[in-house]
Amino acid sequence: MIAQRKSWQDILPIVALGAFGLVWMVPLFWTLAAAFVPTTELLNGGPLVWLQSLHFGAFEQAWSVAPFARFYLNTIIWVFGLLAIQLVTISLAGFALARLDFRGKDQIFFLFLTQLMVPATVLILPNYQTLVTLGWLDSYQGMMAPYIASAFGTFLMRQAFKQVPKELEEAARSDGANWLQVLWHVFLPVTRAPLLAFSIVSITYHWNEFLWPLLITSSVEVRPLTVGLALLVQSSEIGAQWDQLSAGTLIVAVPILVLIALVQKQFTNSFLSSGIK
Amino acid sequence: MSSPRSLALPSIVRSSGAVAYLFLLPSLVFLAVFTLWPIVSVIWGSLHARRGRSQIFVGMDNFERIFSDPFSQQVILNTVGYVTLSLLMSVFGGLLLAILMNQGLKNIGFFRFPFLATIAMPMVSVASIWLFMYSPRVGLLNDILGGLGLPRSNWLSDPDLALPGLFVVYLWKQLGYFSLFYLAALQSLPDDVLEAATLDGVTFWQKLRHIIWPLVSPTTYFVSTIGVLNSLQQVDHVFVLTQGGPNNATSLALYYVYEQGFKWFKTGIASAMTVILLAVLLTMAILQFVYLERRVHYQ
Amino acid sequence: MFNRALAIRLLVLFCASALLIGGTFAQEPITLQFFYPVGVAGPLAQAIDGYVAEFNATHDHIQVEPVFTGGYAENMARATAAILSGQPPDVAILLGIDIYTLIQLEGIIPLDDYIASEDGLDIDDFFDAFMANNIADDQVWSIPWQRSTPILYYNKDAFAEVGLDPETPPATWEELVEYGKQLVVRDGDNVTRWGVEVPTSFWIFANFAIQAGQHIGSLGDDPCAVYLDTPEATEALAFLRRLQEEGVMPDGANAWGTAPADFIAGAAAMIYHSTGSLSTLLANSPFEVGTAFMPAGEAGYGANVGGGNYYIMKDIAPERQDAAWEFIRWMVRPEQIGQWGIDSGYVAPRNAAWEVDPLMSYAAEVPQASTARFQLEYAVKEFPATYGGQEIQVITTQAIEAVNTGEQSPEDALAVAQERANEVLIQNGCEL
Repeated sequence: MIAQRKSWQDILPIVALGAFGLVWMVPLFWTLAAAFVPTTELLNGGPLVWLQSLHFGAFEQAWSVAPFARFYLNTIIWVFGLLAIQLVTISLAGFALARLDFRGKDQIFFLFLTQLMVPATVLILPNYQTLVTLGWLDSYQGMMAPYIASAFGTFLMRQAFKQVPKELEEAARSDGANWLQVLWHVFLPVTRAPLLAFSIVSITYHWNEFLWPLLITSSVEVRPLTVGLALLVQSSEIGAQWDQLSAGTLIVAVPILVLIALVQKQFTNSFLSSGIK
Repeated sequence: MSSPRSLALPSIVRSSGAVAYLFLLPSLVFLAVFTLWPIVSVIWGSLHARRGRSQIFVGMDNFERIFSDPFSQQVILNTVGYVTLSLLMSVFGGLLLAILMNQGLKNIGFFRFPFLATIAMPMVSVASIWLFMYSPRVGLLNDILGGLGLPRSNWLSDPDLALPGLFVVYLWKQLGYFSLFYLAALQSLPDDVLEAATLDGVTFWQKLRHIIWPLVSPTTYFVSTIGVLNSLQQVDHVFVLTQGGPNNATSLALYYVYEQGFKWFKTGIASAMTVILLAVLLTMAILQFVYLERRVHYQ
Repeated sequence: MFNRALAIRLLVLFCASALLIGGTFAQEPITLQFFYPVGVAGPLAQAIDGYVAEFNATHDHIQVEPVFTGGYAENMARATAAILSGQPPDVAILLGIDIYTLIQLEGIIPLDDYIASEDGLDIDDFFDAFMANNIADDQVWSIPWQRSTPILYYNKDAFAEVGLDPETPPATWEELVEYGKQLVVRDGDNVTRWGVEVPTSFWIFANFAIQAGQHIGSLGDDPCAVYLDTPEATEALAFLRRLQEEGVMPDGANAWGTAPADFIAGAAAMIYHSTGSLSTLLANSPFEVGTAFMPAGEAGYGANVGGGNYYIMKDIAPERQDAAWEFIRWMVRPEQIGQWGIDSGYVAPRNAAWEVDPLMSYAAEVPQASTARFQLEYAVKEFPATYGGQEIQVITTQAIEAVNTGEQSPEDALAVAQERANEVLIQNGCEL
């Protein structure tokens, strides 16, 4: 090892990465500043003036102009409600495809593949019409419906279940357990990692989802945060409310940012496993 | 083994086949209603046009309109340009950032955070942030450029800059995502391959071109596929930042579907554009299939 | 065997008992769904929710459920979707120009019977210009609510600073150019204050065409008429381009929301904007704000009205329609709609509102609030009151963008727009 030479070679890219990262964060810093500093001071003063005029007023205003508390609740209900349903559907379907024999397996496998090829985002128009027929507009189940079957999750679980040793399954079966009991007591406890990976991807994806909820929701009781934020951006047709907008932006984004900071490693791994969402 | 009653299956479904169908049922129902049926119904819709409250059959008229109207032609061009840019970005940008992240210290999560944070933020938030960055007279971007003595621009209102402007927003948000895949690929390479190359005094570019690039080619293939899929679905930032303007310069295919289908209720035109998107996705899937077949064949 | 006659009898019996039960519970309140958009700045959604809460508190038999659906376009999209799906809201605030689209969808009912009834409304009290978009086939289909015209806002401090009289805003296009030039402030190559900023929008452009002598939309009851390629419209668009070429107005397209921000920040000395932005501009500008008629062109002053009206939906039960009428009537009471004018900056659309408090005292205190009202003398029907109006709006704005960004000449851009607008009209069954 040539220690001397390696050290600057090692440090240079880190410095470069750090600098690059800082530049990358500029818009976020700007948003922070815009949320905590009144707009006139932000535009006319320097950092010193900013520090003197820090305030939380914009958050109070944003919070009062749009019912963000309700939007939070809605987002949590729809994102976690959907996740709960998905965990059931993907475990069951993944298990069937991984461990059970039945006729038409290839065809059913192909059906799931179709969903990987055709993301739900592209099908907003016909799916909207379906919701009209079902009377599911402006409802949680309407928001969730296109995602309840998840090909990505099903394949992820199928892959995980395939790696579970046959002996474990056989032991349980010979004890007289039925397949549902086998799945619950034997398979799910050893596949927590993929379940977690799927959960992180699903939460991030749906927490951030916008167009579909925008189209199908109309009442404050159902609308998620992203739609609320976009309406705030739209309704304030005056740029003078930048502080409110920035505050609203942070209100929506901060929980996810905190989540990432806490579980950065799992997050990275989950997204690697996600591939095609 | 404890077997709670709640997990008891009905006695008819003893055979593993019946159990399998039962397990698959919830997924299949929703697949049928929200993935398969919409494909059928959108094809039907693309052959019809709405008149008042009723639908009339118009044959291929909607497609002819899309391909002959200069404004929808522009939407297609915008989309192709956007997807191409994002393909290049996801591959080259993603790889370069990954190489940077992969240097030296293994545990530099702190330095990766900026790139991960943007992935996880909602596009609506990201777009709102950039709305303020791009604002022509009070935005930070023009302030910085002005400070450096560079010309200021009216970013989102200039037809030549608006689409690249949207792309930068997407880049900012998603570059980290694509670099993650390359990072994983790089970390799975044996250390000595990269180190040997360094000691022999090869330049960075030679190393990149002749060693790294071939070794990560499966990842490149994968990243380009999801890069295209991802960018085809982008619409939130169009909605927040430009609403397709100025003069149609930033209308992308999916935004066009939204505008035609949900603002003006020209469901026929919107369905036809959806069918075009589906055709592109299907083509990609076939290419993918052929590629995978070939790889399996030659391995 | 199934007996058909018996089945019918049972059905009749069932319906009768249902009616009877319905009658018994007639005291149950009717819950009305009410869609509304917010087109201008300010916490207007809160204001409306407040009025509705007051209405609900004072009406036992009607409860109104307000639904804020976004901007005008989203609101209309939402209402259209609801009408097409057979589940319309009961009452909605929609643009005046959407009247023909709504009639074509069979989504709304005419209100003449209600207006003439015992619990009616003095419709002649409403300003003519604000009724122009509400009448089709000699019937009244909607009641004015959040109505506006664009006006000229100017920075009085900036006027004084460059030696212009702060009490004499530009009255003609030529003066606009001239004053604009004097108001521009440069720092090297960079302009730190523009003379005037005109948002790139069909709604603002329409005023210039009227001032040049020919409205781009129909003045009468014709859902198939758009006049975009006239010499007057061309002249108006050429003038907008000239403002940029003379260095008075920022180049490129100017976003609707950017203009007020620039005005408040002192980066634009004059802006064209909706009167609905008045409250926000007054509250946030660190200088004295002047308001004036939009400067006159060759044909004198001219303005294009805009904004939203109350519509009652068709596919709902008659008692719901009655309840919706009661709600509308309550909302447009002179005191109530005057309060709304103060809260929002919209022009209270009826004479009576200006003759009682709170608006009477407010107008005396804030003279800027009356500018738009007096400009109404020169105001005409909003463009484009046609079939497919929302799409024609976008087409027109695209033409202005093409010219303001230097991509096309006014003639070419407007010719393209006219052709595209015609296509939309033909698609909607117009014979051109």
